[in-house]
Amino acid sequence: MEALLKGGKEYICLMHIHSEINEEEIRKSSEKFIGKIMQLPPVKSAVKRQLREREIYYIEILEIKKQDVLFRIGCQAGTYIRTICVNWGKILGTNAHMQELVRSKASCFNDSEWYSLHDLMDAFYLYKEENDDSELRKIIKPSEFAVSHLPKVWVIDSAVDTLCHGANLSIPGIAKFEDCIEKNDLVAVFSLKNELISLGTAVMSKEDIKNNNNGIVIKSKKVFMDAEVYPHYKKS
Amino acid sequence: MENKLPFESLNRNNIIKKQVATDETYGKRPEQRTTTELLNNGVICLNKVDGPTSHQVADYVKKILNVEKVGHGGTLEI
Repeated sequence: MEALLKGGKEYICLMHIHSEINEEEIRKSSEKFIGKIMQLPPVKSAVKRQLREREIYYIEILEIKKQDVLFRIGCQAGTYIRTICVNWGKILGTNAHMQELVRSKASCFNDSEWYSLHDLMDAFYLYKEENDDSELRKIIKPSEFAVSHLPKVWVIDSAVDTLCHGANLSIPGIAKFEDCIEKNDLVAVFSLKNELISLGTAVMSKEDIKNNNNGIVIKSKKVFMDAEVYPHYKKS
Repeated sequence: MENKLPFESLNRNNIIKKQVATDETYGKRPEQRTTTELLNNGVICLNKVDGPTSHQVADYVKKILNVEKVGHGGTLEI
């Protein structure tokens, strides 16, 4: 869950500006938010009210109609879009507020494939009453899906059980890895059958994994697979 | 150019350290799991409507699917 919450987010926001501003000026000022910004969370918020740094990856203005601006924003988790709107108003020499907000992406989950409660109800009915699970299987994804945004390593069968007991992962246990791994990245550890075993923090970069034959690569943080699904490996 | 979140532009080439096979006797590939297994351990990308809280929606899902545990990972805080 933490892995999912910490990935990037994308929102679609409707902002209302309190006075009429030239369209070109609105478009240009959006660039001021790209990169690292400092934010003070709103008065009504779930976190401590202190300045914090967040990264904005992109802002794309979808439509401007007089004082209403519809935009798409990609940002680091924990960015307050309400605050972006307020600050944007100030940059324009006026005030602005957030009118509506929809999240279009949360890590690997996005609005290209989301379902309503009604979809879920219909699919479950089909499964229970008509023995047809095709719709339900489209909606419910294996839990592995929730970490598909993370860099991955795959381990050999004999390493699986020790990982299930919380051990760290060393190079001899690795079958393959994605070459995007950097030190301190949160990494998903998979079996060769693509089952999620655990999540951990990389203590080696991709180059080090490539060039070495031993040493700890991933420090375990959270184990998902039960022990004894794979046989216990005995050192001979 | 389409805007991308950082993880969407990662270069994901697989590098092989050890060329080995997996023993099919143990474990189970995600796509081979039964529907019951998915119901007990799966994820749903649900479009939450205005009105009910995330907690309430998680409770609806629990009732619809008749399962023991449902959690949610992402409250849209505005």
